[in-house]
Amino acid sequence: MEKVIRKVILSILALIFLLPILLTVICSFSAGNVDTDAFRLERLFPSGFNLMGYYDLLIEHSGILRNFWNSVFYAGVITCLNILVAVPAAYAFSQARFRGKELLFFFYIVLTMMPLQVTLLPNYIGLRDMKLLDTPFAIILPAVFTPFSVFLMTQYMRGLEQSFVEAALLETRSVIKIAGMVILPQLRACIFAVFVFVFAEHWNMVEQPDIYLRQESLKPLSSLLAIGEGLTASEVLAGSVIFMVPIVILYLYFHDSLEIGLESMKL
Amino acid sequence: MKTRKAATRILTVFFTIMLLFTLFAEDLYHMTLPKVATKTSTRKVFPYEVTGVDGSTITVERTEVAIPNYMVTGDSVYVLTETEQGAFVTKRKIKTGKSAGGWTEITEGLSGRTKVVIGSDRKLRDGSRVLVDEKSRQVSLYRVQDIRIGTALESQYYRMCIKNNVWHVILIAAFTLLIICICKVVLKGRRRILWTPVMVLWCVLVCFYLRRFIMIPPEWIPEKLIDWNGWRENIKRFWI
Amino acid sequence: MRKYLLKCRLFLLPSLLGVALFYVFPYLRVIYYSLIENQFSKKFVGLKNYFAVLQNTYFRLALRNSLLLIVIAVPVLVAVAFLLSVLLLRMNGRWKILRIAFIFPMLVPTASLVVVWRTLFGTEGSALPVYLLFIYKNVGLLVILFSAAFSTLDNAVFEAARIDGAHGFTMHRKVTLPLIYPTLLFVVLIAVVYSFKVFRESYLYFGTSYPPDHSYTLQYYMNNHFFKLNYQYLASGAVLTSLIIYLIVFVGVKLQKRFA
Repeated sequence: MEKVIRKVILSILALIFLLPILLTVICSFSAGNVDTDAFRLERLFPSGFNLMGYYDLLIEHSGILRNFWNSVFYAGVITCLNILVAVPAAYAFSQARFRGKELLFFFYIVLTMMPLQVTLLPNYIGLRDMKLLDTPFAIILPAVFTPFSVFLMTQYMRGLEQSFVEAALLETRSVIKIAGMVILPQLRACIFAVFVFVFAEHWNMVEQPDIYLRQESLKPLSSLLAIGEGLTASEVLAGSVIFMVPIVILYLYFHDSLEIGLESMKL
Repeated sequence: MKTRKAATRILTVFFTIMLLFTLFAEDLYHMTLPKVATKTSTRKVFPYEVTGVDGSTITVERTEVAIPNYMVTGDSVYVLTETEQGAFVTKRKIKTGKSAGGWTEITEGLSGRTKVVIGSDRKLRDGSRVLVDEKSRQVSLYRVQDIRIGTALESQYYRMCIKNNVWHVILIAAFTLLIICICKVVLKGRRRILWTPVMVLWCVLVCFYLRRFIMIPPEWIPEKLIDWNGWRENIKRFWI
Repeated sequence: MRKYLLKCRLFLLPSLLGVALFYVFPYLRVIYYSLIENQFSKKFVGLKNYFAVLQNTYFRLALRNSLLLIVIAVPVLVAVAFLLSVLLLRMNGRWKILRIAFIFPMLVPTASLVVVWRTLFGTEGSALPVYLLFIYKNVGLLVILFSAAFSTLDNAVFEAARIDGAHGFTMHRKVTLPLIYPTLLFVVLIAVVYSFKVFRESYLYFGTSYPPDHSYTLQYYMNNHFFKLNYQYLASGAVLTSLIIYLIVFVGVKLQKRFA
């Protein structure tokens, strides 16, 4: 009996949580008239089915497609490079022994916790000195070294069995072999979790492109959608749905791994 | 496993569709421009009554700028301007004078030999980009797009970006493939890596080479893509 | 073995290099900026900029609003996450799918959500919609963390408690809560830290850099000075904010060590 009540409550709550997403999707399929196309409450009760929002966005404002591919490019490259940098670093943090390791790791934790606005200025100064502003590198390079993935992976690796490494050490001396054969296979869930999380984070970015980039044609879709300049409400809705699709798919792919990976998040 | 399979499919389809839109945006855009028919304003002879010096009324004939009666709707007409960027319509206020023989005199707002859009009361906006239908004289206005004035050039620029940046597209295609490959390798074993990327690659290549040859007839594109409201109203009007 | 450990350290190099290049060295320059009068005269003025920032009305307003967010939204967020994970406890099989609904908002792009939010709440009014957005976005992560903590708990403890006559809410309060105390601490820490990151939601929701007074948080202050390229105030603000965060994390780690 208790379980049934719990199920009912949970279902209602789940519906409430999914409602904004559902509303976005439903409304995107019923574009209003151009004249009445404002953010108003009536828009939430769609009046008919049509694809005009998508038509307007994908064909008439097809310039925005370039921004979509920018988003894909940035988020993909950042995520891949980030994992490539983070896995060895996390491996070193969990395996190596040297003085000041804990302090360094604590520094990484603090850096993870910093809000973006604090790191934005140092990043901006660094990029300006390297003359990278207003290029794709301005978005990619600082994001590649975001310490969150190092932090999460280190915690995950510390939770793994250490005896395997000792056993493998009897066989081979090569660090790369040990990392590749012993640690990496166990790391799968965590890598996927980091992949999804970091991808979503940078798929989502708004402030960095606003500040580092001037050219509209370099900006990712998120910053254009966010400002919504020159777009009608139905176009923004359609864009939002298109923007959500890759994330939904990634989540469907990796939702188990995501939970397993994020569970190891602790101090 | 089932969700993963479905997710792979959706991912492939989604990116392929986006790629298709990227490649065909220009063509689709051109195909769906509103088509308008035009008629040139001419000079016509109108009878005028003039009071003479002695108080008598004389009828004289004067040649004035005129357009056909059916083109006058309200106090403004749409005028076609053809530039290098394409044809645009601009709204122009007019004042009408006499009407005779099926023609209306325009006393203010138009000069002779101006191209005036037929059926302009429907969905055109000031600054809309249009295609001029030279062949058919009838009004075939099936889709009105609404370029805000001032953004026309900017969107033109974006279009150029897409069109010229072949490498961008190739890079993106390669990246899509990479993602799919990684997913496949990691999740499904190494045996069935090939079909999805190959399909995507194939689609991209084919689309890319065909894009200049494919032309969808404009008649195939409806005024609104799917308009259930319109259908409902039609049904009401004709059947109930 | 020695050689192995030595080689391990090399692995840290790329990450360290990047962090140093893009975070540490520029941060040192930020500190330097915060201590000089302006970039051109380069006159050392000590802590003058800090006092100027602290006396600035907008900085105070921003600080107050940020604190308000922590005081109001964070407890609600933690409570909601706790309740949800208690409800989700031992939901197996097909009903496990309900978790998706709570975890998924974490990943949904804010830019996609904001349209509905604006339509529902309008852009004028209280700061409540932003709080709701904050809770909506972050509840997933906390639910994951709580669920992980619950799953490590021994079922025997609950059985024993049940035999002793505890059930329902009382049991959770008396038995579960103390057991997951370290996790709770970490969750609160994460929630507080994430409340500093709420700027993006707020910014997108209001669609402007100058929101109503009740929602003007620290991040707005920073962002607006960024667009004005007001380096001294910006630098001092950044250093102050990072100090606040540093203190929060430091206290969190210390408390964690004591309880664990």
